[in-house]
Amino acid sequence: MFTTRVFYFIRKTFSNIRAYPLVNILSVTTISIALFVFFAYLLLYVNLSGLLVNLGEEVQINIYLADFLSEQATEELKKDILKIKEVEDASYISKEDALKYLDEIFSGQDDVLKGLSKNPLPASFNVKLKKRFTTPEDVALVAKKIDRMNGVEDVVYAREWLSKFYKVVEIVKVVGIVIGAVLSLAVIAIIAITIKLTLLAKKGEIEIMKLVGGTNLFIKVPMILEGMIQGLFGSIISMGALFFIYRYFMEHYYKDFGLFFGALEINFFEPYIIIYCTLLGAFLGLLGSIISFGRMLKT
Amino acid sequence: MIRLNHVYKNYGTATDSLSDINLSIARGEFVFITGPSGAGKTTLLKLLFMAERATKGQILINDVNIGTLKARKIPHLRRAIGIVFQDFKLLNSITVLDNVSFPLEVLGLSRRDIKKRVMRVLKFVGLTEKSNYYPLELSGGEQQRVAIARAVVNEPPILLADEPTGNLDSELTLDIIRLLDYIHKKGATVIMATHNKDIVERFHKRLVSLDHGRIL
Repeated sequence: MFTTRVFYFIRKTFSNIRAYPLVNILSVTTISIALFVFFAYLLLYVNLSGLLVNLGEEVQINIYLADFLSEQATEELKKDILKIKEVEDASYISKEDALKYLDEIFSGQDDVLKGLSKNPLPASFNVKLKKRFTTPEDVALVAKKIDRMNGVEDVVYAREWLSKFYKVVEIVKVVGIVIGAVLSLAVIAIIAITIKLTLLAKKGEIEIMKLVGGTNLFIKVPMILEGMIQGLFGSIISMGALFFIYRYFMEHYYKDFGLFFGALEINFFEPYIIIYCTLLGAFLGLLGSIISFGRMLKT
Repeated sequence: MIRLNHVYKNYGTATDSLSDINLSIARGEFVFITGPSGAGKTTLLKLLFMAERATKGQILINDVNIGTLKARKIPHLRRAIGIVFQDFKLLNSITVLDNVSFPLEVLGLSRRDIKKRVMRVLKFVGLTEKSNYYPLELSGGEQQRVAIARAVVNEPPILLADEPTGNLDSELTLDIIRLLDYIHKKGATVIMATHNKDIVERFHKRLVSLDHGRIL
């Protein structure tokens, strides 16, 4: 009896889809469009967040050393710096390396450095912080600790830039979540309304099923499964469309925007996100049909 | 089998659609409910298959007071009642076979059993050849026979028919009544609402006349 019922529900779900092809095509199309907007936004958000994380990782503190510092004292200082728990790495740049770097920057304008009688640049440490400690507060704290150490002449980091950057990150996060939430609600509403329309098309069928003694569950299950399948197909189609548009953009337009994007790589979703998104479509279809069905059977 | 004691139905208007109905129908009876339009025939049938609930009074079917029945039990009551409507209420998007299969799917029968029983009942109403047709490909009389096949396929003990011949010409009307009579002779209790006096006079069955919601 149970397996007969399960087979019936599956069979009925697909025969419903076959019986109302136009309604189902319209429904899947609407869901695809709604989900496409949502997925496109998500792709933008994921890439933007990735960019911000990468930028955040580049937070550095430059420590300029006093000229009198011996090699041994420099070594000791490096050890002390590495002892700070927020510090990931400290790379030493000697006076000569600094000059070489400056030379590279001014290559072709040799006159600029020729006039120098001696190397005016100090040796320095380039300190990189661990990923977890890149907030403006962390950076300021580390800079303060290092500033107190012997042989340190100056500590420089992009204080202004860093706090602005974190403000941007915060804004992007909040705006991203708000837009994401609004879009999700819109998608659920669109799916619920679309499925409600398909249910209205089946009003006669529902009435007849009730007249011949069909229980609510018996009527509901195939139609709810139908909503789920509509959501699933909608998400597969919208994800596919987004992928092809992404590929087309990357092949034809990405390099034209090179200047604008700089070294930024635009990636498509990771496979696991694609799977989650597809399942999300099915879930939203399920939710949409439960919402519209709940009301319909009550009336 | 069916008893109505002082039953009233009011839709919120000044006059009752049904007023103080007392009626007893024995198992295996064939009853015509007659009366002009608006007399309350359809309302009376609706109370029996619980599309509506009585405002006042008691309705017993097989000694069960259906007024106290919980909503989730209504489908079980309906499985014991076959219903035929004037407008057939068939689904035009599926075949005759699938339309008639509905009540058996509800019962959870296997596909093979369903097909067997549906073909048997289609033979009974003379539509074996048209099992794969869609309702709109059939004549009015054939559509009504499909509706009757659907109503009796699960062999319910009670058959309600609400103006089943209202949309048919006189020859097809006789066909349908003969079919209902045959179902009655096989043991079903048949209650048919009609305002067609010719039918009532031709078939000598018990008559319940309604006017302005009252039994005359």
